[in-house]
Amino acid sequence: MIRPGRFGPLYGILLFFILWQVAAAFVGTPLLFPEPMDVMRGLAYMTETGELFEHLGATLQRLLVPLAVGMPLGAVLGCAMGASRDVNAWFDPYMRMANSTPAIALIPFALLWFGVTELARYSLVFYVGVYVVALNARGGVAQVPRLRIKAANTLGVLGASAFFRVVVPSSFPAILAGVRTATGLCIMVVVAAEMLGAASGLGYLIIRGRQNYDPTLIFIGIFGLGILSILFDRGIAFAIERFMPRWSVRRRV
Amino acid sequence: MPGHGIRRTAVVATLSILTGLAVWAVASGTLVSEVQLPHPHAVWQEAVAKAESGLLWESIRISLWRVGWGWAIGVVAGIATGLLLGELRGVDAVVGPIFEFLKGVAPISLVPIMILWFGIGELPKLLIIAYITWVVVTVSTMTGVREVPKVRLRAARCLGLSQLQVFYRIILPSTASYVLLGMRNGIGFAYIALVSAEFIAVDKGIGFLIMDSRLNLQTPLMVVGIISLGLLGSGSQLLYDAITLQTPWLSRFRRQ
Repeated sequence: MIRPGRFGPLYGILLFFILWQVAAAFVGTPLLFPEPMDVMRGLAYMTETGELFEHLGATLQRLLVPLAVGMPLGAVLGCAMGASRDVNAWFDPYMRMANSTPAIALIPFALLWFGVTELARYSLVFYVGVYVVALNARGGVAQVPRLRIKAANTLGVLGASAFFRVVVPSSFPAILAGVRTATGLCIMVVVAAEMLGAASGLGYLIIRGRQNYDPTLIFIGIFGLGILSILFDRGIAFAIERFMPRWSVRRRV
Repeated sequence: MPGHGIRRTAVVATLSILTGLAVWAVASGTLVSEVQLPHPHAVWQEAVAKAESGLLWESIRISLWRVGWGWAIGVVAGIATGLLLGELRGVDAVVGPIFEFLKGVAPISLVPIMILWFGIGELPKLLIIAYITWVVVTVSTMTGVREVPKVRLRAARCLGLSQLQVFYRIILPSTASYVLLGMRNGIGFAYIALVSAEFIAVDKGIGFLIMDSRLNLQTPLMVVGIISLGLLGSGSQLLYDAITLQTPWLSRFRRQ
């Protein structure tokens, strides 16, 4: 029986670094497996030169800009699909296709269409943001309790008004869950796109590390990626708990 | 609403697909060049040609072999890790952040380091697929063990079950639905990892087909590859659903 209490995550981070150190010591050469200190030193150096923020900023921008446009659009589309059988039937085949094809497979297509440009990466993230949030929003609308709508009807809130005042708010937790899923997937897509053609970003750092035979740089990229994902996921969860507690997803996952 | 509704849905969906195909056919060669958007007919011809030459089946066979074994290894390792870590109460709070971190590390970012460590054979590809499946299944299994109703555990103790009996009769059945869900999510992630590995560490497979056709500007083949991948992905999930829902002793765990 271990009782880590509220410091559990701290022990976890400590354990993580200890395991890493042991593994690196076991391999024995930074040319194959750099130690945590090597990576930290590299990170410190890149922070000093400002290079780190440049690449981190590039990746963040590629995530946030298209998601900010795509996710609201996805929410609207999903709610429309949940509201109308015809709209749902129209878009459902495409949603199924999108959901069963890994978005990473579309990277060559995006590069073919837009060249190695920001637009290629934006379009991919936008696409993932739209369909993931739309699927979740549709599911959310479908799960709104009938009783709630009936109660609204009894109280004189009918039709479109009931939809916007009862159904949409009720499906908000599902939409926010979709936002989390979408960001997680989009991080994967952005990094893949950066690795297959870009001159900045965390994915580019990994590829540069590979080309220069610099495992420390590869590890900086991987480490930064893991941290970025955690910050994003925690950040969204925290923002929901803090600013939108009534739509918390905590008990629903 | 019932009978009429379903027929109407089918009609609208068919109309939608036909419209999509029509827009595709018209746009190709007029609005967009055929290199960027090949004509549906050209894609079909390419699919038939590559199916006859055997290249398509060979690529599918290799990709399925990789994703199947990688997924299976990841599932076994994930269930074992999840049960072990979940059973040690309190440990999940410690290892939770580690797995959160691992889940955030995109499989594709590991490809270069895996090649560095294990060369360019089948092993690094299998490991990358197994890795992400392992993380997904472990997290899901751990959640399952944590969510076992306390009442059941107390009841079992009152009735005098031994530690081993509690594990077999209470924890395993209560966790099964989470494990099955994690395995299903793992399929999607396994395919992401498959494409990632085949895009960079290339020699054969559907992902290689897509990447290679991009370099040679054989766009019809690229579309064939992407569509095959979509069909394989959804086919795998349908197969998984069919197996788990039709097997009596498994289907009762898939109600949630």
